[in-house]
Amino acid sequence: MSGSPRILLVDDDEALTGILADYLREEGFAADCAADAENAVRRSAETTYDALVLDVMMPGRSGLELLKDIRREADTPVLMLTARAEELDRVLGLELGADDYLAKPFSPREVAARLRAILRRREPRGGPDTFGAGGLQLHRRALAAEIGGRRVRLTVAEFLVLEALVRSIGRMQTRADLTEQALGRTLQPYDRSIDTHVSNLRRKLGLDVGGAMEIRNIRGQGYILTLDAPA
Amino acid sequence: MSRLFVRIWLTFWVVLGATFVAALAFSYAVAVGRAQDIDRLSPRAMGQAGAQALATGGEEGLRLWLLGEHNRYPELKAYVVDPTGRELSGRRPEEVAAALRTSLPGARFPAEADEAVAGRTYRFVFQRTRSLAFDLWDVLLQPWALLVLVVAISGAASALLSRHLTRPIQRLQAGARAMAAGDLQDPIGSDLTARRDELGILARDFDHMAGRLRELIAARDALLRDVSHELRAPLARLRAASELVRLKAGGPDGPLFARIEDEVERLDELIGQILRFSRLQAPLPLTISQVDLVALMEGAVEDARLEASVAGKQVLFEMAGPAVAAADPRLLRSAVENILRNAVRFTPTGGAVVATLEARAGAARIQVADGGPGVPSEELAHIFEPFHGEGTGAGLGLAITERVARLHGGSVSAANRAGGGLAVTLSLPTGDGACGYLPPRQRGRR
Repeated sequence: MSGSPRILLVDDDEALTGILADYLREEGFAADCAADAENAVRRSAETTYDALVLDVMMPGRSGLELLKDIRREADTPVLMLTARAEELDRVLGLELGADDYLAKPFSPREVAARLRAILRRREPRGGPDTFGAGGLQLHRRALAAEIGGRRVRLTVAEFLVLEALVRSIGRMQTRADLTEQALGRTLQPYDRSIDTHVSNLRRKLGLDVGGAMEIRNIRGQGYILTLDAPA
Repeated sequence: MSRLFVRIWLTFWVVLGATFVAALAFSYAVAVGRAQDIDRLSPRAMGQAGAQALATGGEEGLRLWLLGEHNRYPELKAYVVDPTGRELSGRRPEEVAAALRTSLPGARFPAEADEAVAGRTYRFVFQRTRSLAFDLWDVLLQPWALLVLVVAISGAASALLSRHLTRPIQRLQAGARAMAAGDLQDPIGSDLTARRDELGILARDFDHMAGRLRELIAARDALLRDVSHELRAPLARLRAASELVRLKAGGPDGPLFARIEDEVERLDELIGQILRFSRLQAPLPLTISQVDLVALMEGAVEDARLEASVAGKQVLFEMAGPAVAAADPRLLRSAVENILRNAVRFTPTGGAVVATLEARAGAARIQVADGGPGVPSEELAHIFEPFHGEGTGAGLGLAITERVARLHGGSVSAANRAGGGLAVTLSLPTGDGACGYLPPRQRGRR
């Protein structure tokens, strides 16, 4: 990435976004703030942002609704800020195509680290543009997967999870490994991001139990992509 | 059939039956009284009175007298035989002889008296028509059909009445149970609330109460959400500010900054626990599914391991075999997580937490043993109370676990291990229908 990555922080807590923007600037980002969804839409029309940090709970249009609108047009990376883990918003955010999430009260250091991870995995990487296994084809530039003649758009995180599974087809990937390869960070306690991305993949591509291909869960350890349906 | 139904039914039936028997007894008593009246009559005096009537009014006078006596004593029969052997009312001599032959136990009758009227001797024969035993048989035997009819009709009527009364009560009871289990959406049903009697009023009041509870719970949930947001926003700012100060100061790794961040985290966890605990206090619909306890434990242990490894502690997991329980997976997971985190917290660096899962007949046992100092035995009973053990940071975790266990019809207990350390055991029913607190209707609402 050339120059400072531009980040838009969207949260109605302006005191918080102020501090966070300060912190990110110290860390070498160019950060702007928006207090609500309307403001965020206006600002992103003026400027192209490299990533968005979105609060789930906002008066007016919520972060989730805004995320849905953004995903309809662009695949700008989005880091969601949510309330606590048990509130489940985080999972919903990931299902709607957020790249990662952080629960409040978060550490700004962690925000910076996650943003870097998200931006890093956006960068073009080596490897063929189109590759696959079995009846599954992945298209890197288009961020899409094709199975049974059906083409499905994926988020970056989903694509990277699937890529890691395809590259190790028939072999198990631990949740920690998948988190590192696909999300560019270490697995945290009570961290369900990988599981949500996997369940999104299963749902979108029909890689469920009984299909010709299946992402199987090895209890408490990790995931494995199998070619043949189990007998 | 419910006990109340049986009780009401039997009460009505017995009352109706007793009334019938009492009526019989009363009639019997009246009959006995009349028989005794007759038994007190003196045949001689009767004979003399008859003779008097015959002397003054002739046979016509005698007939009138007999008629009068018959009206006074319907059960008394009188025969008057003249010297030629003719019975004055025209009855045949054999009849008279038969009446004389019929002896009744304990009675003064039959009796005869000879009276002379105008030089001719008339024989007066008196007989009581029925014995007491005969009276009773008469009543009991003859209307056998009536008796059966009375029993059948009163039985059926009582059954209908009891059903009419107990059915709505059962419905109310089911409604109350559904409400206790968190189902507040129309727990009674409109057919009962539409009744116009007192039970209908009760049902409407009940409905009203459910509606009011719905409002209160919705209001409380909204309040909890707001409180959560309002309390956490300053925490988030505090944490961000602390880190910004640290960064601008050139990133000193001062213990005070770590302290601020630790305390922020602790406060945040406490807020989370308080919210979860207050939610668990009210009826809430459990989202029950068949939960694979092995997978649940492995997930929870993995998280605890990640957390423990930072502090140089270990978490081991041993299990005997597969175990499945009907449970709310999220609640159960948080219950297990709380025990594990508590155990990790009290285990010294380099120590290990051992989690075991055992399935026995009808119950699964999850045990978590730590390598900590244990708990004084007099405190063991209290560690599941909120904020027990001030200063240890125990908070509400184990109180939440206890509440979740109870919601699932299970239990949780703690004991000091022989080798040191505390062992917390969570027991869950796994057999079908063994869960005591499952709502009768699952709606999967949230």
